[in-house]
Amino acid sequence: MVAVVILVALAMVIGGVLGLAAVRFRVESDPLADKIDKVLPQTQCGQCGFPGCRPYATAISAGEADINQCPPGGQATIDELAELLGVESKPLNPENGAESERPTVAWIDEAICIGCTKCIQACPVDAIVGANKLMHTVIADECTGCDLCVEPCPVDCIYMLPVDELAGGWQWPQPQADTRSTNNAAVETAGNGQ
Amino acid sequence: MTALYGFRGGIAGLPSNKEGSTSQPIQPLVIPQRLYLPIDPGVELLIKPGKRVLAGEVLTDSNATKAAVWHAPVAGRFVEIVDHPAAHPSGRSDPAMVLEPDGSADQVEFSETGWTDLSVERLIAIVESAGITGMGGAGFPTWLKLGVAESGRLSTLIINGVECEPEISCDDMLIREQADRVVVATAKLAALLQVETAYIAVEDDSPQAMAALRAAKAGHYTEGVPVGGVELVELPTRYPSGSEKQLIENLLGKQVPKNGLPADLGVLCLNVATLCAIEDAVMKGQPLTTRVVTVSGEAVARPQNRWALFGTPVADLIESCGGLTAKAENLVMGGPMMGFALASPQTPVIKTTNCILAQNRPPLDKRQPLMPCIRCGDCVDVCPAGLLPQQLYWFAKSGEHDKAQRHNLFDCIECGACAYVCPSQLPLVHHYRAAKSEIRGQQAQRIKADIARERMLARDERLARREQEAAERRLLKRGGRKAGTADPEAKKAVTGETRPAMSDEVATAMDRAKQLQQQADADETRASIESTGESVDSTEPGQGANRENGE
Amino acid sequence: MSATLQSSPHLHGNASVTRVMYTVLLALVPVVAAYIWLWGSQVLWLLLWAGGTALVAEAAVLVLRKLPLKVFLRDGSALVTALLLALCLPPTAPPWVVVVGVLFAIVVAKHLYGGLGYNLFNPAMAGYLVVLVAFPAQLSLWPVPDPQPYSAEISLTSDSTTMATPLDKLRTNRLQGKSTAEAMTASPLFGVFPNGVTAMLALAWAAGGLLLLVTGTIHWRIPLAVLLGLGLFSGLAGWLNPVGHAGALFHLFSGGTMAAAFFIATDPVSAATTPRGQIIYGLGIGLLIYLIRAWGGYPDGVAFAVLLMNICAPLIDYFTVPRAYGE
Repeated sequence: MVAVVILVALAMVIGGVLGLAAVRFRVESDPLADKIDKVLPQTQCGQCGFPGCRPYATAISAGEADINQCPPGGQATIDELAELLGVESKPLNPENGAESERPTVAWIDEAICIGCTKCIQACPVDAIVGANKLMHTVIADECTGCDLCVEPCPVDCIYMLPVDELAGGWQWPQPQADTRSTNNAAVETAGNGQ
Repeated sequence: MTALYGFRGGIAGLPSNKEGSTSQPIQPLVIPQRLYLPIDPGVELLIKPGKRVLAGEVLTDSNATKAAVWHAPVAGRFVEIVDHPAAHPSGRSDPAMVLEPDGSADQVEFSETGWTDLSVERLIAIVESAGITGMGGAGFPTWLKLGVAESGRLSTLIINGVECEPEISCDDMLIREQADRVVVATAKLAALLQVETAYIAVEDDSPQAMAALRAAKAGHYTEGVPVGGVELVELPTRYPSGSEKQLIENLLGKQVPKNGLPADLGVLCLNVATLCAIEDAVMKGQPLTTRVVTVSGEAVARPQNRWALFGTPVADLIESCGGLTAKAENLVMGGPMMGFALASPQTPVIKTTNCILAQNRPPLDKRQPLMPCIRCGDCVDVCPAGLLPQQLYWFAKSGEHDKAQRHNLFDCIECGACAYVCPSQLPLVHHYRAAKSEIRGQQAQRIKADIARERMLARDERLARREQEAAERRLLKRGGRKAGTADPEAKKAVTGETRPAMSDEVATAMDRAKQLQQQADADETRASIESTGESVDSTEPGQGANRENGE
Repeated sequence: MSATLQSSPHLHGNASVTRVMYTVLLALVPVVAAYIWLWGSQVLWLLLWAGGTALVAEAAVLVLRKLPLKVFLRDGSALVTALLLALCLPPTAPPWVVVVGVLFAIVVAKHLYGGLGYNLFNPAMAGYLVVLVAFPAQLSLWPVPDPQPYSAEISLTSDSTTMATPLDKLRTNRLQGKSTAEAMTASPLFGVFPNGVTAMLALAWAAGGLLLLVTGTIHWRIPLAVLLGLGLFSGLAGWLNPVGHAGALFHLFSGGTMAAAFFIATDPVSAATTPRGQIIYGLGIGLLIYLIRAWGGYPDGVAFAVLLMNICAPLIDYFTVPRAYGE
């Protein structure tokens, strides 16, 4: 009997402490949509079916969209979203597009451009400079490679070119053997010299 | 005798292999057929292709970038700009100026300044216009380094003649042959910068260098030159004692603060070759156009030190040293511990090329089998930066970037001591480099994404604002009924159209574009039919264009 | 010229895993010699069984895991585990005991956890523990040495061909309420020294350990910390209560102390890795060894102590990251 009383009292005390801590030491964190938006690549391409990354993030947090609809983010983004939301990761939904190997930027062929400004209106991040009947050009650093400008161009003068160098400069490739297995099974080929 | 404090970690007993290259004096210049000078991004070319240039003529303007200017090493013709293998680990080809020496000795006029009545500002200007960057390997712009002197915080000058990496002996030989110049220049620079102490540091595996310095100091002292304040220090041979941070710790017992510079401790550390370049610029007005390069390695016929012009292809340099004895399995620019493997023997000598190594062993990865990390901790013992290389290895391998950063991944100086001692032959430095560049890439990507997000928000705001203004105007118009003219602006805002209906010019231009497109497609179809003998489906205009210009 | 990108350094030292492992095997020679001198060559039979089982088991698992046989069989790590384990057992232990132990050590404790470099627990100790818990009788019967160097001090059990180890006697005496003095040889040195057989074995282990230190195969931190920890705590306890506790010298030279300090705790894969962490790890092992010996249910606490500290090693590493240059 005494044991029961002691245990109940202990439970109440500890529960009280925990409750107090939850209130006193509460950490204000971003709402879920913000957290998801931080993970997304901000290409603003609309391939997910939503008009931009922020609406997609809102939809995911409301449970209206799945996490595997973002091709520019690729599998890495899907995995990060899965970890953030505590769900199983899954492969990219092919209906939304395919993961591209290299990021691309838009390039306007100035010989053909007629200055119609349709692409300027289409660009979600205002990366195209120009005005009516004046030359248009893409600011390569700001272009996210979303492809939205290619469609509206009436003379088809916009091409998506692979970038020369990724943001952050040239990257050292991963050491060879380790990409195959965690136990360096590539030792077989590496050890052939012996 | 200066008291030494030692530095953490390090490897004693690294095989130095310098006997071959130090057995003869520095060999004279050999001028190759063509020189390839790299064009750093963002610089402006001052000379047009096709023009003749004189030796010492300045070719580029750094244009507010931190890149050093380049001067023509010899008189000749600036032929063209080509994509040439760059002196960079990636092995990529970057734009380079091609210079064809014409054998004449014509040079621009050099203006001598001299050390007397020289001000620090003037010195910095001279160094900048001479294009002097650090010649010990890192290539930091020397005029920026000297900038700390203007703030009056300098208390110590260290001339770094500590060549701790195996095989490299260019600084050693330079000191042996030009000890006089080194000592006097150190004294003059120390006086100009008003430092309290000046050191010239060498390693104890080169007693000849120390002897030469001592003789020079004694000689000049008797001549009345104030070299008495210059302290000559001999450091015990231990890799990497020549690394700037470790040298400062060894000599002064203080550590450069994290994310800080030696200037924070009031220290200025210069490589001895850089000092000689500064001396040339001040005394003779000569810009930086040559350097001593050690050519060494098992596959080289005659290891030696040789003066080389910047822009000399490595192959030419090796030829002038007697060529290779066997097929070089690995050509390295720099020393065996920190140099990078060259993708092409045409890579040019640049300002930081202290050594060319030709190894006839296969590259490290193929030589011995890779074993898993057995956590022996030998790497921890030798790391001069006080890191945990094996933990960094595990984090880098598994992509746990935040843990790697918390373990100070970016403090790694990539000296290679850990990989040298690893019993499992792990390519540790490669892992750290890959992790570092991945982290940098991700950070840059994140910044880019943040900017894109802001731009999109700004655009949305702008469009919303326009909508609102249009709605207000409509209200005004309806309420006012004064001016009867329909406002085309309002109409545009409402319909979202920024231009009127398609005009004739536009229609003509579109037809012209379509014609060009169809022409191009027809040509392509014809070409495919000729080559394959089959008929090819006509492609859509967009796709055809992409294939031509895109991939 | 290599087509694949390759980073510096382009130079490598002479260290290799094989060299490390075979140096450890060499360091076991003094111990094997001591065994042969004390108990004849039957220990070699045991070592053969252990080594053979280890190689066969390792080969089988490597084939199952599709890893390169040649490289991993030759590295000697399986042999080290097996021989260490075998030398912790009495030389007259039946071969199947050692086979069971080695099988568990190699297959479960080493490879199921990921193989060389990935195992959390010291495989030799894990194997030893399985055998200890499963077959305690076989492990406690140490034969009388032949010839008997210090026969006057050895008290025989009812079976005159086997004897209890000094630690066994310590525990039995403690449980029976008898004093420690009855368990060992009195000596003018402070504390008491165990009998000649145990001391001799301890010195043989220490000799091997010294070889490892001199060749740079192990660092001095862990052995020093283990010996210091055990010495300090047993010395303190012995000083406070000399009747109930043997002194430092006894504990340092008896049982598996020297083996633990130089060979077992220094297993790099399962030990702590940071410099400060290694000292804490060693001190912890010393303390635990003493606690188990003095108050635990087994006469010798080395295996348990090592395994318990193996669990703590990652946490110790986490809290003892060294201060980097400039911090």
